[in-house]
Amino acid sequence: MSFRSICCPQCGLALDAGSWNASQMVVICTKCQSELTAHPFPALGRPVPVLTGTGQVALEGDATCFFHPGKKAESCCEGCGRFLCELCDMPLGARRLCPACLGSGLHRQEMPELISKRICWSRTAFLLGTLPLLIGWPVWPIAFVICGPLSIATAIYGWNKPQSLVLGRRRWTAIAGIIFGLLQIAFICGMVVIMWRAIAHAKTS
Amino acid sequence: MPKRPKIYEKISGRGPLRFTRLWLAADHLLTSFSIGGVETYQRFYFHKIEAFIIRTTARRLIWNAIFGGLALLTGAIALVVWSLSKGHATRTQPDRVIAAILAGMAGISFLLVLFNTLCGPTCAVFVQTATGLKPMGAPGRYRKALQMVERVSPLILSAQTGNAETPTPAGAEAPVATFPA
Repeated sequence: MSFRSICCPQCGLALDAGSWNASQMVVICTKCQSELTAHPFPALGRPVPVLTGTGQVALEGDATCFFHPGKKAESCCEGCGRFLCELCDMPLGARRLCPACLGSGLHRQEMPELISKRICWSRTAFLLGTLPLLIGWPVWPIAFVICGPLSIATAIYGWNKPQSLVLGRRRWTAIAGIIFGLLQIAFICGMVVIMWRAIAHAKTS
Repeated sequence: MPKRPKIYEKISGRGPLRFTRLWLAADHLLTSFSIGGVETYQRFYFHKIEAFIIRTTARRLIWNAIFGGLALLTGAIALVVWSLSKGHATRTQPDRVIAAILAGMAGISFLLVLFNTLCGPTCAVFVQTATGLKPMGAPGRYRKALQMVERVSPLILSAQTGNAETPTPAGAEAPVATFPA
């Protein structure tokens, strides 16, 4: 059994418990002189568990793992209710799942706990609609030709797609993206009309 | 259509320019890093958090030096332009406009220095778990970091000690944490 200690984030030095001011938990790292404030929790004092990863062999009358019939069941999957051995027990936050439920959830992105990345289409549309305006005016025609239609297409494509996990669905950003995209297209169309008329006028005169 | 209940509550990183934000859920903390339209998430479950480590940084000093230098430079140039314009009767008007613009820039820089100073010292927050130290990205100010720790600590202690009664984060007393011998 071994206990963990708090490490300095700057230099990685394991800090001795005795060097901490017990009331404020403030210490200066002896190696890199960084000023640190620590807030430890009971989990730090727990011994490091040694997992064999193989599970206990089931005796006669013991409940057995669904996936490994020879192993003793240690827990129960909260997704499907199957008995699980130590090897098949997959902790996910406060839940315990079997590999099958975890795999299907990961594949379908149903469990918010498993989502590690999201593309926010409405925000992308909004950025495509507004960012070209921040670029200098000589670049506008080129930026508008690309970003205008792209902004509208992105907003429509992502209308029903899953959005930000934390902010939720924000329709106003998609609508603003469409409006700014239409404005960009209108600007381009206006320029084309003006140029067309100017050329026509030059030809007639 | 019924509105979906909110799973996450924002506890740090307000404002449109913050790329890293910290969110509080029922059993974990979540940091979201957004760049453009892509958000990436990292979760820290309460029962796995071993410690929060806050390291003070010199970011405030660096920004103050940058904006302070800018304020001094633009202010000095504005003063020189203003004093030179007095000697030329024909060039007074455009020179005074330039001086006013530079003085405005100096004023904005000074306000940024003042705001940065009033926000308090800067820091970097790390979470220690069984897998090692991980940077959280937010909060970036020491005072906010302490507030965050004070708010989250009762929930973490409740999750780790197995106390069914969840303490209310608002106004809760600072937890008594024990350091391992």
